[in-house]
Amino acid sequence: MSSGYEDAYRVKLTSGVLVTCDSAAKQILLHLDSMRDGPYKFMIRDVDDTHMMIKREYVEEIKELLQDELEKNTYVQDPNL
Amino acid sequence: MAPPPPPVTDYKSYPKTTPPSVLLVILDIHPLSWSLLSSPPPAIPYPEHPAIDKAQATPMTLPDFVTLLMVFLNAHLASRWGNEVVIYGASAGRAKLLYPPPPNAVAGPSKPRPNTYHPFQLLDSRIEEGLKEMAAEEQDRLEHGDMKTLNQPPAMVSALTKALCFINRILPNNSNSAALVDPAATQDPSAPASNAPDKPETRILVINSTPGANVSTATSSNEQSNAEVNENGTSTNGNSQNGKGGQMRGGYVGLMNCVFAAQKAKVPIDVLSLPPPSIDASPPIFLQQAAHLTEGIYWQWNGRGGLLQYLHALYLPPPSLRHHPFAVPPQDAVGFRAVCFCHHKTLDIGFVCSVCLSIFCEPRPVCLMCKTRFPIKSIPTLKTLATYIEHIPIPDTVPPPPIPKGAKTHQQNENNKRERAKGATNGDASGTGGRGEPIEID
Amino acid sequence: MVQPSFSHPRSDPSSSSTSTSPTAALDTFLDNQHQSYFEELYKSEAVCLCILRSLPPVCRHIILHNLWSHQPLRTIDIKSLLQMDIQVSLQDVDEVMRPAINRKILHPLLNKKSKMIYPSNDAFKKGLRNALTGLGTSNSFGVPFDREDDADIPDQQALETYGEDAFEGILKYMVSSGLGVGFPVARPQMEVLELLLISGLMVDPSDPSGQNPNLNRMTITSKGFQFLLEDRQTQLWEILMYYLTAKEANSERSAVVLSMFFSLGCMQLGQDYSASRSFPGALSALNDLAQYGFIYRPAPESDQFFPTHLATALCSGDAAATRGQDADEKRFLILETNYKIYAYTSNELEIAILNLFVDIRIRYPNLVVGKLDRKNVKSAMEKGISANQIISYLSSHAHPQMYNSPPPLLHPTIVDQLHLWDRERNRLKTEDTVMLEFFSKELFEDTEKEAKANAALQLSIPNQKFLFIEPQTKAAITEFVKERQTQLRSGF
Repeated sequence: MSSGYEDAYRVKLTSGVLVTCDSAAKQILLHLDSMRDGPYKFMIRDVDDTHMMIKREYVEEIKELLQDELEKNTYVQDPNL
Repeated sequence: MAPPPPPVTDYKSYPKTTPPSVLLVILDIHPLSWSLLSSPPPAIPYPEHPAIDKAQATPMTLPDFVTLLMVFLNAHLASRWGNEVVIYGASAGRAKLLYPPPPNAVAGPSKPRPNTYHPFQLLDSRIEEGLKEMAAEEQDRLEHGDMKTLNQPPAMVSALTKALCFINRILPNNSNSAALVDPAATQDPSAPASNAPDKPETRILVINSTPGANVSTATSSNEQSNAEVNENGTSTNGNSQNGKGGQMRGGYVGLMNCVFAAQKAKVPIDVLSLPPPSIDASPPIFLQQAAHLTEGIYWQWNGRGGLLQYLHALYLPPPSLRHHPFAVPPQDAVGFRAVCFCHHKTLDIGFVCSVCLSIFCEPRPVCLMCKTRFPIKSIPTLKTLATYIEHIPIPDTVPPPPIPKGAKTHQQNENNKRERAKGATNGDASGTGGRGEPIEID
Repeated sequence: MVQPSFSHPRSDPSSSSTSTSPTAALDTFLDNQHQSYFEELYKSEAVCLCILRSLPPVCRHIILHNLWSHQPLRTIDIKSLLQMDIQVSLQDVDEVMRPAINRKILHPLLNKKSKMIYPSNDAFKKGLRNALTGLGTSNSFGVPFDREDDADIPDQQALETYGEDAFEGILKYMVSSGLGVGFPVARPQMEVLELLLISGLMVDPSDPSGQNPNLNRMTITSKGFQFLLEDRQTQLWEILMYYLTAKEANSERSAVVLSMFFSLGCMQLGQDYSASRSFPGALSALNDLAQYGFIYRPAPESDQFFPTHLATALCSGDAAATRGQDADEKRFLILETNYKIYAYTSNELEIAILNLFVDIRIRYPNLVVGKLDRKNVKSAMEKGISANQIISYLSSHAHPQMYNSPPPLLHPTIVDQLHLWDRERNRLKTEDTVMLEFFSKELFEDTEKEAKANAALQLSIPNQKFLFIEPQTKAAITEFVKERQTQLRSGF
């Protein structure tokens, strides 16, 4: 589609999964992504504060990872207190 | 009284639900009045509107009217679950609760009819029963002497007082339970199905059948008919006495007190005045005032049938739907005249005691009510001053409400006030059938 | 924009589904019916009355306003009644009358002068008039049973207990299947179990294909959990509608049965009726309703039946009214700001429902003390229960004492926390997409417009010139882009 780098009208198409989330969750995702290398990186494009585009095959994994990460950061009251 | 809010056309702002509504009906069953209504004089020609003019004056007997009323009350019950009806009968000098029956009475008819909704059946049969009982009692009174009672006017004040007491009893006050019905408590948006019951809204419908004013006379003529006999038996003055249309002493004050109580409690008093203009050229001004002060609807029947439709069209919408979104008929001119405490005359110019605010038709050295003494010198001055006051002409109509932009105006004749009342509710009233015509039940 | 205000969940579109009326199930069903179905229904006066009451107040009063008139309703009538501007478009007037049009009470059409008029459905008009005057002939309000005067009849209290026991038995069975908590439940009859399966409230987990389910080993589904938290009237109508769609596929039969539901709703509690004379066309359906506690029969084969409060409250259209006298019984919950819950109840069913999202710590004979905690609430949410459902359950069961504190009824802290927990589950929203990166502003804007017009746009980031579009529209959009590219290039 893009006909040469000089072309002002070229368009680049990418398919993937658009993730919409709050900015806190986004930061965690960025962090998770930064821990990974090469083919294991899941982020395709950092869009803005609340959106990012990722590879389709990682969606379920990312959801679980995020859940775990959030769980780690949740204060659970000791039932014996 | 707050002016009606400007017309809003946004249907999204229409209420989604209304609170249950209690309708208290005061039915004037004065025998003399109904005998007049059952043989009306020919209707006054009504050239502005040929369709209405064509309709004949309709004789209206009490049984016929009660049948219509029952259908209307059924429609009220039908329009929302939880709606209730209370009926008082007002006869000569006395008023009585007809429905609901007292708690110790036998519970309704034994068997439901397969084609009638049971609450309708209860209501209808009980009204019939109650009216028959009341008629029997009247008969009894007549037979045991006391012919004079028949000449007393219907006991509107008594009925109104009872109705207001009833309202006061059913409305929860500032108690624990009131917190439950506090609308603010249910505003929690996360509680869509909050089970705090809605506070019921109440209104009173007075059905007047007595021509002439209820309280004294309301004619602009000078012939005032005073109370025939004072409570203490002394004739009030030498005027010609005419019991009918007169009122017991204190009736005016009583009525006005009821009206102000209703106004304070935000209970609209709707008034349907049955005597058509052919029987009674002047409206019952004090009932008219009652409707005006409490933001109720006042309407006088034109004597040409169509009552069922009028009842449904004017009086069925509950107060929470009136003004917004439903149009209400504009009030005819309301005469704000008062009655003097001394002779029960309807006054254009009165003299008010500066201490107790009693109204008198002439200046007095001593107030009859609170016994305050006024300087005798001031009386001639007051009299002279009073002659300078110009009589304020009573306008034919109140200024019409803003007509919706672009609405048809050609048929809204300036002095065609009754038509305007109808026009506002029925829209274009020039249809071939005309709303004024009797409507058959098929 | 991703963090809506939690205190006002009404602005949150997701909550609109929970704040529907108790007859939502009925409404959806009726919305999908045809003219002929309504003609059949409106033969019964009871139906006309109930349908009238189900309309929004404004619409209802316009219908009543016009009930005794010979003339069809005209647009101008409605406009002047509602003080509308004469210029208001027909659509807006239609919108006001929409509920009545949907119920086929009014048939809008253009008259000779191409003015809009709304003639009413003759069957409905006649039915409603007859309902008000009592002149109908369809026996739709139920024919009383001829019995001897000294016959022994159950009083209202007994009927209520009977109905309540029968219906709660079914609910208890559903809860116990999901919780594994041990309290003795009677298994409902086979027909009831079948309906629970068909409606999707319960499934047999060992039979994922749904071909050959074992009715005795069913467990509750997330739909079933949601059902449990609804208020009683909603539950009743949902069950009735499942019944109607499952059993009466034939539309004529279905109309007869549905009109029987309405008739039951107009009956008098404590009165006995004759089954064969009231509902000659729907005897088997009436028998089935006995299993859910809608009616009580003194003897299995008897013609005499008593509607219970479940049936007579069907058409009240008023959530508060269904509870009636037992309102206080249903108000047993005290929720403190420290998330502690005190439930003054000994009703097994209510405790089991509470157990879904409350960590129950103490049980006394008439009091249960527990705590709303993250673990339990989240496990409830795993089962498909939403925060709004929990909140509406809590507020509709709030103890009268809770109304004494200043509003709102439930403390905002707790409401917010529940919403936060709900949102925690799905902080990510994912959707398949195709990203288009542009370098020309002109092309970007044209494509954005095109995508928007075709509802293909997911997201547009103008300053980076990114467009995200639905994957299935990729072909069409690329086609458009190519065309524009050629046009723009040749423009030079």
